[in-house]
Amino acid sequence: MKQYINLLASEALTTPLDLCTPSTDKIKPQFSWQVATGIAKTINDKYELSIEGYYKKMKNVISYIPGSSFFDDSFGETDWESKVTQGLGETYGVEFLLQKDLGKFTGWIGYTLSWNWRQFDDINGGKKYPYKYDRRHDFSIVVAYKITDKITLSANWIFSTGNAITLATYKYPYEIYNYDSYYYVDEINNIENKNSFRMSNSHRLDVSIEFHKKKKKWERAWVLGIYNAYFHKNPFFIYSDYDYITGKTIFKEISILPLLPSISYQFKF
Amino acid sequence: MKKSSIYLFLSILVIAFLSSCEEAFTTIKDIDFPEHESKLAVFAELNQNSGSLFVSYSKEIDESSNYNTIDANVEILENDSLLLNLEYSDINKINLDFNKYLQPGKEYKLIVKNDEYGTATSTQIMPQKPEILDAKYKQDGIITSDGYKEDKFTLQIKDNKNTDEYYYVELYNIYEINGVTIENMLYLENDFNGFGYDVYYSNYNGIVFNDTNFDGNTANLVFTSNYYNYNNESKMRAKVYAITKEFYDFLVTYSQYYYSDGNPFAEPVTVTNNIENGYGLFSVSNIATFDFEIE
Repeated sequence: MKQYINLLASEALTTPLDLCTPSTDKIKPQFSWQVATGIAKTINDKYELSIEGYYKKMKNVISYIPGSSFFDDSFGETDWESKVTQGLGETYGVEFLLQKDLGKFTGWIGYTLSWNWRQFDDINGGKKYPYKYDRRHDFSIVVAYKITDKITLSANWIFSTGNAITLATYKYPYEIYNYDSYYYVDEINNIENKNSFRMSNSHRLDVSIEFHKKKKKWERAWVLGIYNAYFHKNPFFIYSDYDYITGKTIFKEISILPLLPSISYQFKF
Repeated sequence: MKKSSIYLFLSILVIAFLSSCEEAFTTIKDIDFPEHESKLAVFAELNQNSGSLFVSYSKEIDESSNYNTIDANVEILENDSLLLNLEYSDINKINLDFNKYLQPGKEYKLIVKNDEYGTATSTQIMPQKPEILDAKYKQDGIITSDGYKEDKFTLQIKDNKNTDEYYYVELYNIYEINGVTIENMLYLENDFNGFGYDVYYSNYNGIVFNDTNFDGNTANLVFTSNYYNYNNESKMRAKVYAITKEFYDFLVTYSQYYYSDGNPFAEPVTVTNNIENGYGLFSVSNIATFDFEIE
């Protein structure tokens, strides 16, 4: 399978900015092969249970080169192609899905256990590391209840493992100037392994109520909803700060889109 | 106005109010850093008959940056024969002088022993001496992409075929004071080759690159610089280091680290390390020099 649009994900702590970039004469198209196998069973003519396992190998996936940034002319490079490198990707996992499509009460429960790896010659010393979107657990419950022919209540709850992030864990000097009363240290704050830390897990509940009405030639619906109904602060990005009281580095996660009401009007014809 | 519209308006107002409140959107994240076991940090950079040595130790990221003097026994072996044995008891970098020339193709092993942090080792093979065919320097000889006139430094080197070579280039203005030759390093920029990195590490302020783009051929390289003719001297000296892959990787990743340090939008950098049971760098370089006059 070949793909000519590449996801370029920033792995800097404070730039949760992902871009879709084209393949060019410098950036080769992404190539992948995948194998998947699964079983499905219908239970009591009401429920369907499926289990699927998959393994996918990718070539020419892209990533920013270490130290570069989308926002500046890193190392004198101004074009985005000079800031990226290409390497390998590997992902595998198991998906479980239990769904009910018939009756007043419908919905599904889905769970995915997965691993997602990247390997680039010029990143992390050539060692493979977890991808930013390596989600060990991804769980969702979606339910809908038809109160009457005109009113449907629905809710979904989603849980996913936090994004992988990289933090320096140790330091060492490469030069110390210590003459008379002058003391100065040149240090390297280094990384043991890329993406070896995690942001907090994300979860939220979305609820909505839908009012349908069938007109002569079309059908309309008003939908009132609440996104993240219990106001959970799901992390969008993280930054480090220095606590002058404890003398330690602290990390702060910033959330956006807390509880968000919505109203929409839909029509079908 | 209907009641429902009033409630909707008030809801939007509450959301807007919360959006302006940082605390409502910030969570302190507790991160458990794995316990760091301190190891030796060693930087030993050797060339034909001299070098430098610095020995210290690593710390957890939040520890103070005050380091104590360290005592260590340092041995350098040449093809398993003892070349140097010294007791390091310092906090500063020290200079090394060998009473013989290190030889290309020979294996050099560094062994650093300390009672508290154990034994750190590293092995390097000295590369062949690079061949400089020509070097020229022309003041205001080039116009940059920004439209500025800069000095043009052109360098011609011969690369060996079928081997991976790694180079580091420096340029000096040289003059004599009381019979002593003084080397004044000039800042180099690499805007015209499409490969390589500007290095800013310790005393290394040149350009590092590999031979991917000219393997086995003559490389014609163009750099920019600025020369202010401090002493009305027109003599220049090009130095080309043949370096090992490990030194190349270190200079590249250190440069990435240095130039992105403090930039919250920059991708994380892992500075490479070739010290076993420790951190740092052991390198053995073979340097060629080429003296010439400014055009």
